[in-house]
Amino acid sequence: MFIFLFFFGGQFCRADSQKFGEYEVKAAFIYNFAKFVTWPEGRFKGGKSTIDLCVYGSGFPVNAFDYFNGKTAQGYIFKTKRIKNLSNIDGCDMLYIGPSERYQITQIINTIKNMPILTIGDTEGFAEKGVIINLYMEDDKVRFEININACKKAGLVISSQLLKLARIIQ
Amino acid sequence: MGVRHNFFNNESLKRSILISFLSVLLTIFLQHFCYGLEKEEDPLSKLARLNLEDLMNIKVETVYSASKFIQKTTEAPSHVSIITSSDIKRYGYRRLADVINSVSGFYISHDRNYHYLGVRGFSPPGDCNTRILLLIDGHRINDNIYNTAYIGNEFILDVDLIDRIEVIRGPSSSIYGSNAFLGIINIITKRGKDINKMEISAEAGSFDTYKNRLTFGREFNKNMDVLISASFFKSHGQSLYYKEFDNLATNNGWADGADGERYNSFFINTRYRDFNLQGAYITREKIIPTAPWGTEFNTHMTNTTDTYGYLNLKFKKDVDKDTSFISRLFYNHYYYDGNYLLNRPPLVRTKDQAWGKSWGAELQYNRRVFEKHLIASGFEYQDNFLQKQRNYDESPYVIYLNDRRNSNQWGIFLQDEFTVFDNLVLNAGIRHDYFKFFNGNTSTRAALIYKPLEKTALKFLYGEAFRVPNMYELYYNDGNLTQKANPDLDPEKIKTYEIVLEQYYKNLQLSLSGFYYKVKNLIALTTDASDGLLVFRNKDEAEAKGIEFEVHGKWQYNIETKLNYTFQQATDKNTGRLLVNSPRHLVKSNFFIPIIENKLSGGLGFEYSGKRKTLGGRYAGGALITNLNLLSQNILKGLEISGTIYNILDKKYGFPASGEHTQQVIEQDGRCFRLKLTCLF
Repeated sequence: MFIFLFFFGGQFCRADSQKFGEYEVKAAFIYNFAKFVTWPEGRFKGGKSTIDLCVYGSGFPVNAFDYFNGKTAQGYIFKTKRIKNLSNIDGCDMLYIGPSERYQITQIINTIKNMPILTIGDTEGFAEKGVIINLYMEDDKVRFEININACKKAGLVISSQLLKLARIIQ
Repeated sequence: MGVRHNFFNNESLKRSILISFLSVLLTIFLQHFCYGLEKEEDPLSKLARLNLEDLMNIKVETVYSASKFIQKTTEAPSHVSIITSSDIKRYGYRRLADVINSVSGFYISHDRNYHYLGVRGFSPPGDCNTRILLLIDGHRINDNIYNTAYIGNEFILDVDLIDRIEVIRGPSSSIYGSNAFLGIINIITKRGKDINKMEISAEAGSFDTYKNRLTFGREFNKNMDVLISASFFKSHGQSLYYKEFDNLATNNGWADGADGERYNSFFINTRYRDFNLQGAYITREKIIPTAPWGTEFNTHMTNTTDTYGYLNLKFKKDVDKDTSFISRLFYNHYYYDGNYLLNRPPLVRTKDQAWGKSWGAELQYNRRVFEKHLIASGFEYQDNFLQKQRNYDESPYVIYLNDRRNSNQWGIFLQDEFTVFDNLVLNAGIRHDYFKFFNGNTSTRAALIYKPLEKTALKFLYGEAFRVPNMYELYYNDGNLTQKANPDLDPEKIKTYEIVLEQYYKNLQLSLSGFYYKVKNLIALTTDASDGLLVFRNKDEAEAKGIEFEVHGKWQYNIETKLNYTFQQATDKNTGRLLVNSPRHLVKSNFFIPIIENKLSGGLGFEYSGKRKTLGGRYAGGALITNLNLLSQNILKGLEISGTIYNILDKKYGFPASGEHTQQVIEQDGRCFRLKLTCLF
């Protein structure tokens, strides 16, 4: 009976829901960040209707973002895309940099320089190296730190609501 | 033999009624949830709706015990299962043994005094649960006389105070030393902030069983957190029938009023800044109805009392993001008091007692070096300043054993987690242990963890472990009447090989593993043919091989399902025969079904253990045990009510008995229930 239920019970409930793991929670954080950042004026002129999150490097399952794709933030549509190299980051408003890039992170930050892009990571030491928001784990819970200087350089304004929840890196 | 009960009388009728009732009920639930409430949302959309403050309170699954630092379960160098406090509530688990019995690959036995644990087919009758290391927040609970991992009501911590349990399969001697032989169970306790003020809980169950618990817990500020709890348990027990004693002189086989049990336990857990002070204490008394060791049948005079307590002071400091430091200072106290009514003649009460006292310290230092290496190193010292066993008749006074010793032991370990590539991790560890009574022993472990895809992990595991004989195995004798000592015993050793595949697929989490375990010098209670006395001997080799499969699903409307299957074959390597008390098949399955969101839920558990060979060469039949728990929360604010029926189908089953019993098989409880109320203030 229980074998029957196990296999057919699921059939009744189409298997479209996902497991609630670390990356889903982190993805939810990243989506929420889009709501609390003000990009420089002019960024969204000319009919741009999306906030684009680009995912660079590996170590983070991109499909964790699937659910948030198409949701809105500040009236714009949140869109994710994977990019293979940094030559076409012009269209990115947010850039997630995976743990695989930890040895190249300084170069990457230099490439982006002062572009108005919210850089995000979830690797130890990224914030110190100039990534604006870095996620980390504490007591099995997701936390984040913000590098204020990097944020200023990018010309972004982060809402105080977000700042008060973050660990601040000067 | 049998347990007196009075529900239905016709066995097959009641079974078919219950099966059909349950099937219909479950099918209705599932259909109702899927088609009836089409607009109900799935968990991810709930995640999307949460604001940042809420998100910051979501816990993510990680594991600590496998290598003494926090890791994701897929990166742990072992095959790991985690059970949380919500599982304990959902399925109505009463004691640690109930929880462990739901974990894939594990099985329990119970001789109506203690609960015993088996894994990978090893659970020889007469063993005192010495091959599993039991830890509470990293503190060793196995005592220093019998080295027992207590998992029944004699376990020191009320299960309601458990935050989560990490079950780690395979040897971990390279980290934890002796007894981490077949696996470790690490209990992570609740803190004050998990209780938030006050909890009062009252339970009543079959056979006049009552339990009360009072817990106070609070986080005063970021620096200070306090939890204090007390639990009181009392059970009158059942009248039990044993056909082996069915004659006029022994009450026609009925043991009346000889199954009583009670315990009082206390727990305190405080944290101030980086310091954590923990104290626990239990005293538990059980009357033994089975008349072991040739004692008189049908008496409450044969009973045991186990008292255990510890204090553990821990200091944990994260020096910087790459370096952390832990030091511990602890004290353990154990006292066992056994009363056995024997007709020598005359009728005498024999006292069997043991005292174990120890203190110890541990230092651990973790550091990341060269970016890709995470090093854990540590040193542990334990001084067993009292290890005493005594056995005597009260009146006339005759002393058979008075053995008083002390010993010390230390261990030093080093482990490196080397991230070779982003998807390839090598975890290797080595530990050296020294014991006063033995030569040193060195254990190693190596794990290669490969993640070819984002949701796939492949683990290749090799482990070594050892177990030093305990004081009981080495020095116990009852004046050479039935049992003699063997101070020449050698430690047992094990080598294991295991491959684990972990795969996430949509809403499913799958794991598949194959294992081969080989034990040398296995210690077992045997009879010396020359004098007929029981004695512990290093037997030859034993081996176990098998496969294990588990699938864990999370569905819409928060339905959760789990199914696992283990096939294992544990044999004596010389004779090729299957080991005693070693089922070849284990199947467990759980269903959690919310009936009214956040208010009412059902938890259904199935546990099947295949037939097990008894000491006499017969078999204790396999049995499928079904438990159902209904849990109501939030209907009245601060009130939690749960009702559980255990062994719904009233299945008759039993476990192979150890050598001191006349019985071949000790029968277990039939259908019984429990009602539990918890108030939160």
